Amino acid sequence: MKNIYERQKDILSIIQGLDISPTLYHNAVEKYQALGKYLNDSGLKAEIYPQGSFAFGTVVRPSAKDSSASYDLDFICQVMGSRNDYTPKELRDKVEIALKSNKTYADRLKIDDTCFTIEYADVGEIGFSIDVVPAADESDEVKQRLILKSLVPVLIDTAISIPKCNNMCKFRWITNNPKGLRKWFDEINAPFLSSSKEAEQMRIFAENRALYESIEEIPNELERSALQRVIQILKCHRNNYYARLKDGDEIKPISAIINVTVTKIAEHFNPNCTVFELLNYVLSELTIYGEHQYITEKDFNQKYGFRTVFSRPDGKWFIENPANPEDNLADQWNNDERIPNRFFQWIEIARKDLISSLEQKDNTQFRAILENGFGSVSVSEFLGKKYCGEATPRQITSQTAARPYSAQ
Amino acid sequence: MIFTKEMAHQQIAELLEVQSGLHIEAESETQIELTGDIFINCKSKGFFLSENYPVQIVIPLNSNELPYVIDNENRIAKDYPHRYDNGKLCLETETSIRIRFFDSFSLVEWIREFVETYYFSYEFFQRYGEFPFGERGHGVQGIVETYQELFHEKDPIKVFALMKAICEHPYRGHSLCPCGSNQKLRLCHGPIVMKYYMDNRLNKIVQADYKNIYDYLVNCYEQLRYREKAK
Repeated sequence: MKNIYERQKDILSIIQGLDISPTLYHNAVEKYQALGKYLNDSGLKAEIYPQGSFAFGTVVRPSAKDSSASYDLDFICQVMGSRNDYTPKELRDKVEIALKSNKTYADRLKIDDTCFTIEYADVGEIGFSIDVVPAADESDEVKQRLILKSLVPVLIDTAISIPKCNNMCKFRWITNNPKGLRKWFDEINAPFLSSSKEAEQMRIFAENRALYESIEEIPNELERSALQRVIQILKCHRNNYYARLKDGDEIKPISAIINVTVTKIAEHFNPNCTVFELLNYVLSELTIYGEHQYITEKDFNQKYGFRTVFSRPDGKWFIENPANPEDNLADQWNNDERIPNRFFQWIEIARKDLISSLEQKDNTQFRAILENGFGSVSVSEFLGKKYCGEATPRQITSQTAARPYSAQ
Repeated sequence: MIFTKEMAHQQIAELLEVQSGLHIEAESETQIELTGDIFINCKSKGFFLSENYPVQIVIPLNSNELPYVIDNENRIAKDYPHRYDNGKLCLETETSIRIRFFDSFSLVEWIREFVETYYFSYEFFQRYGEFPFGERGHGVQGIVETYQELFHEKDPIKVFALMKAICEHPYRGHSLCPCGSNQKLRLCHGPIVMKYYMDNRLNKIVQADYKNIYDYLVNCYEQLRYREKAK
């Protein structure tokens, strides 16, 4: 008899292990707040706030290829004023000059087309880096346009403009709205979070007695709901799956697609569910959306009713960013069909690995599935030798391995 | 390579010690059939496989034919390109298998190196859409590729010239290398190909493949001529 509950618990313990630790969390908060203080003290009136997985509470240790890889934490540095007060290059230069004029930041600084990366390598065993994206408030004109198009106009007020470098190294503005997206996510996540709040507080408190004297000291940002765990499981499985593909780095789905689609799907699900009930539902729904590959939009709507997370009007993939109606998260899918094709193949594999295999496979087989899904280093780190068979798997040497043939 | 009944039984006994899910299903004067599950537990390229596969293994007796595996419960997808319609698995080129076991055949090693790796490649392909170690070209192309690897020579024309020389001449290290490099054989491909000249068993394998490739090329040439005439 397979203990499915125990297997689910073990998957969760891997994900908990890959999540940002409270120590690292406090360190990162301290660092980004210090950066904000420094910028303001040096005369650049700016607000620094988290975006992406750090804002959503869905961080996972990133690289499947390098187990000691550091966490990438994303922040917006929103300078006072709107985009009408600067050219994109002026805004970027202002932030760059400020960062370079302080030795602490200058020595840790890496610069690319969109952001400034500050690396903190020596915090505990695993380091983190802070990606700072300069921004200014979006213009009223653009905001009005977005409000008219948006299904949730109340989110638009926080829209920002970001200097983006094109191929010719010329900067232009692009619109984004990470605060709005976080607000949207937090509202959907709230009932899931309150359902697991007590258990989460107990867990964090038990695991971090040296850090907190009472439950009240635990920041809410460290609690994880079923929704956040589902996103983390899928991100981690995605990292490991795409790391095995030759073209994985080119076609890996962006985290925003996982965050937004999973959240939209979860919106109408019972918030008192377990992580794996929600995961099962999400993966079933994503499998249905995969039908868009084979049938027309009209046939899809007739067959599957009102499902709008993914759509394909005129054959073009569309996943709306709820906080920015002009942002199609699936833009790249329409330039490279490998991306949607592989995305839905991955969903099929994830469903097999995370749902059906838990019931069907014996312990040794389950161990192999865990190592394929979450990486052998992580599985060994958090589960030791659990589920390992008596014999260790034989290593096949690539250079001399047999290759399938067909004489006909 | 030819199995007598006694040799086959001895090797089957060794095999059943490591693959206890198999049993002898049928036996005649010409072949022994094993059926049951083989357990595969291996890893490569970050992928782990731990799985049982139902198979039928046929071991021909008193024949030069190699043992083969039939996917008797259709575990391999029908559209997988390396499975024949009758369920027989295309493990590798016969050349690779025969050369690997040219001095003595081992059923245990054959399962380990060819059958297990076949299923590993299959599962990797189903999951990632890529072959972990590549795949052989079909027909003659796959045989030529095998010799390209064995002779450490990328150019298929040079490979064919080397095969021809191995079949038609004795080894002479001071002669010019058949690859056309203008170097002496012993300073060029000689050290790699010498064993195919010297060992009668290896030489026979090359002879058979050379004849196949030659016949195939002649046939292609005649078809081309026929088409030209028809124009």
